[in-house]
Amino acid sequence: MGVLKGSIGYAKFHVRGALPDDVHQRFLARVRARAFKPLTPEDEDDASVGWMPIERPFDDEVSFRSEGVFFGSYLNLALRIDRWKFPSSLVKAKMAAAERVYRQKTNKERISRAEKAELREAVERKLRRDGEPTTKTADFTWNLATRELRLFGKSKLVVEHFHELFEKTFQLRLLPAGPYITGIAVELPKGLERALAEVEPTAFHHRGARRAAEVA
Amino acid sequence: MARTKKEDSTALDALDARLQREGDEEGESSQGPSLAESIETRRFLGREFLTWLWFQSETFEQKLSIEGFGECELWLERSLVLEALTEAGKEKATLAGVAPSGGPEAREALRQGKLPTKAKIALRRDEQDFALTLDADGLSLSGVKIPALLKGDGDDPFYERMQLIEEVEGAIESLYREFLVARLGPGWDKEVVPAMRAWMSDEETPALVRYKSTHSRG
Repeated sequence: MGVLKGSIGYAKFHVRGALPDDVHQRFLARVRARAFKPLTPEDEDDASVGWMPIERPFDDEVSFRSEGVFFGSYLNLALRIDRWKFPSSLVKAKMAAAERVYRQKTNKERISRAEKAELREAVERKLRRDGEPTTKTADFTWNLATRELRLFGKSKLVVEHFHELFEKTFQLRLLPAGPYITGIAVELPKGLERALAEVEPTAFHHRGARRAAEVA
Repeated sequence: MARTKKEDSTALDALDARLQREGDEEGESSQGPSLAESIETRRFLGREFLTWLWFQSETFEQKLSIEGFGECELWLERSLVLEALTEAGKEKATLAGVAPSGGPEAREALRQGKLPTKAKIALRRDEQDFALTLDADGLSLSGVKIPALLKGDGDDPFYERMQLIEEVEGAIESLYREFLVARLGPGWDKEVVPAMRAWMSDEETPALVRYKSTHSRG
């Protein structure tokens, strides 16, 4: 799924708040400040979230040029989320092996909670050194003229991270386009906006009449 | 003839300002539902829109005239999901096939009080074919198919792709606006709902006949 190619499926948002006068310069600086940073095995955090150029979301080195971010009146970027994530069965197996070795070395029957925590840290560090983080990316395209933004990724994880990073980067707010917000955005004739806020579900059938209020 | 979108919507700005105010006042006593709650509780409008669209397509033999998009054919195809909330919990029906919306199971599901939550929609305008899956609760689009238009080396794939995406999305929004004008107006209960009930029951009642003659499309 992507802005430039691939399948087309997206969550739409309306961007609210004032744009700065020097949009290109200001936004490019802010994007660079929140560029993606690759995870290392020694990082305390188990995830890294940041912006990548939309044409090269998997590059090891990040660099943003204006022409790679601004496409006419559109601003295009990729959100990248890398996480250290290992199957729980693998972690369990490695822990069991580590505990066996530890007991043999120390001649201890019982391992304390603190010792287990240390062993777990060592196991995870080794897994990180031997493995690769999982990577998720999601493109977005933002029409700066219409202030509509389309995020090509709908999972809860992606949308939550995107929302947080977008608002921190651009200091603007996102309104998700659903039935109510879209009803406002399409600019109904005068008087109908109030009705939009007060309307109740239609009972198309008797069964629906009993359930209509509960569905709402 | 694309409808020009306003660059600045004062209605959306007012909504945003209200949401921020409510965020600042969170925890303080307030009368009535918050705007955030209102947004959540309006989701049923998406399902009613999809039902209305299905009704329009079948009643007017797939011929629609959509503001900003033009004359086209629109139909539901391949897959349709309907849901209802009952005493026993959520009831769901997933219908698949070449034209599941035209089958008896679809009408039976409607008569049981289920409404469509997700549908694959096809549009044909002149020689151009579009398709999308509409998720009613979020009014979100997925599986969007757009015609391939690139003619020469000078054409930019990104702009063409965005133009077509925005066009088909704009068509859905125009239809949603048309639905809301009907839905929120005085004719909904008196005129539209009786016609839709007749359609759901496969009965050519006077209400449905009247609706067809006064709302003839294309």
